[in-house]
Amino acid sequence: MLALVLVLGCATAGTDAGQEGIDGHWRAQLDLAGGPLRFHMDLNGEGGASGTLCNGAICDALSAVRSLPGDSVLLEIGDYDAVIRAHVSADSLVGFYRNVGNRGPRTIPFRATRGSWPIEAPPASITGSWDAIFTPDDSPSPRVLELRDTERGLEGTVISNTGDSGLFWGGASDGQFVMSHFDGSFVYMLTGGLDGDTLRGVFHAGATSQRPFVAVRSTGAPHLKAPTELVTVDATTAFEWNFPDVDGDFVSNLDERFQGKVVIVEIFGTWCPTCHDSAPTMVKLYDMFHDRGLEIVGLSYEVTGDPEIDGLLVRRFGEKFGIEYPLLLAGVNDDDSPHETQPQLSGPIAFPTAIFIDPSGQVRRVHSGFYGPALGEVHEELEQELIQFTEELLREAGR
Amino acid sequence: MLSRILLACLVAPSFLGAQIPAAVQVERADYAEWLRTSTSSPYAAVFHGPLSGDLVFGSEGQAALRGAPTATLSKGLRGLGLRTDAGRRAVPRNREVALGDWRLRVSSSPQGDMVTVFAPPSQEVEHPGWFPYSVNLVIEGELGRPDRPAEKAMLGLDGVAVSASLAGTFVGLVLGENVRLTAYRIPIPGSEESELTVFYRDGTSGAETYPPGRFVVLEPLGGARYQMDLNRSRNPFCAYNPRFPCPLPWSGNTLQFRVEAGELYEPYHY
Repeated sequence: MLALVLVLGCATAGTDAGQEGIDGHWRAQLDLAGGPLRFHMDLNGEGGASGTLCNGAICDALSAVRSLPGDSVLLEIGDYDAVIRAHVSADSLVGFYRNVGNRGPRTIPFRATRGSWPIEAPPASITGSWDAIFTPDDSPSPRVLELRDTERGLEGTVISNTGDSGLFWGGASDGQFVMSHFDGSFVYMLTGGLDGDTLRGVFHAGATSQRPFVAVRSTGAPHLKAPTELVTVDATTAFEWNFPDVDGDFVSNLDERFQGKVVIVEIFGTWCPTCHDSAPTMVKLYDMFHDRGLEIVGLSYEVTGDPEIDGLLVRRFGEKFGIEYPLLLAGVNDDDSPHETQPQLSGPIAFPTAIFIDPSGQVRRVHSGFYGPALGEVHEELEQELIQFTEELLREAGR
Repeated sequence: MLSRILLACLVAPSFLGAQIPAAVQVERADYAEWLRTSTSSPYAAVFHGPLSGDLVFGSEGQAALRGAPTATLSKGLRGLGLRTDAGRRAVPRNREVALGDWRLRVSSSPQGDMVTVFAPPSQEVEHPGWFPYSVNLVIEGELGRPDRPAEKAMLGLDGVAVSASLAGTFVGLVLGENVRLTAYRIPIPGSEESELTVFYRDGTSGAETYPPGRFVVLEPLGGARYQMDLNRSRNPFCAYNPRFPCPLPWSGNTLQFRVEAGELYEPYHY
């Protein structure tokens, strides 16, 4: 660590390192092979030593902001074992973003200057919904690109069969658009432009990874698998679970409270932005129908596997949304854990996934993913659909 | 140590700073520091192998694991778990989990789960260093796409099997020689990322550099153009510790001349 600090000092030796504080609003960028990934930072180094990384309307808190010898600053992104280390001059920060993967540390050049990126309103010709095919070599895969004109510029997301990649933010000029998503861990950027009626571009991930894509306007015909088609379930037996809650008490499908009830099992993770979008809808369903016999249970798949740490995160999640139904520590968020702990499910499990169970214990529907409030009418339609389906199950049960 | 780093700072402008891009300089310092001090440095690994049955730590465990706290890693109906006196905890794949001062990581691979266990670093290990940076070994070339798609199971840098897709053939001029090197796209587990990678041997392999070869990543320049900075060539983890399996040299990727660039090799320090 010390060596890195000193090398960074070497790399900037001879410059006029200013003594100004770092408080304020910064326009920042990571220099990827495919161009600059833009984002904003708000730093409060002197007062509270805190800060945020922002992509458009979404900001993630830094875990710490520390001053280092030699007019350098360390911005810690604790959740991801990642840091931004930069040399400070009067109105600029120059350094590196670094995270540690299984194959060692990786660095991406970082720069920031005071101020904001200009708002670049996108032309109407690129906003809307696009059916894209990502074409990395031999495994083309479908995505839907949702691009919106907002007061902050171009915003949107990339949706795959198993969920979305979070909010992307950027702008457009001269027929070309750039949008990025950097939350301290995921380094994603989408670039492209119109070629006739076709949108062509590149999805950038990390410093060098690039996947070209081609997209046409969504026609309304399904491009991705329907949310109810992604996961199949072994419905020959009752759907089972038995996991500890945040206090360590086990909650099972055999518990009295679930018997003869309509139950929604929500697979989620506190790390998953879409799960934060879906939680209010689950709370709404619970508030509307609990008295008529609806129970909900949340099965969380967390980052560390340590009950103490994960329990704290899940407890906070529950408090944030005012959740009154049980939230259980079911596993960890790797590809295999949900399948290992829920062997009745097959297919790629999205976060979140809602499993609707009738009073006999049979799974009636599995809904993968969620369309959050950012999708406007689509979100409202989905919420209504889930309300209607829940009511239908309750009505069937004579409740 | 500190004096050596300070010395490097002082002399850097004369023989390093003038040539080595800051990004490469930081990358090298960071990587050497990680190898030297990280709790998951390949140097600190005492076990690397498939998870077949229970893996027992502590006095009843395998020889390499007897100094660790008592615990059992197993895969059961509730997924991967680590059972200790304090109870059971789920174990995420592809991330480190603490076991007292020890660390373990379960890596997912097409062949099943691989477990790596790291003991607390017992000694400070010196990184063998790099060849002097040479701008002549920053190569620009073209990546010709393959005639047909191909997937191949192979060992990555970290000795964990991956399913890599054939990316094509990198064609460029290295020290006046036309070279053609096969490149694969190697995924980075748990992300949308992948790296266009070349694993190659050359006239230094087995002498100053690791015998089976070194990895280097191709960086896109736009279109079919890529940069291959041979100064950023890295050893597979088996170069640091024989507990990691070594990738087999890729067929056709042997250069018949010396590439004096990238990471050096010294026999094991552990």
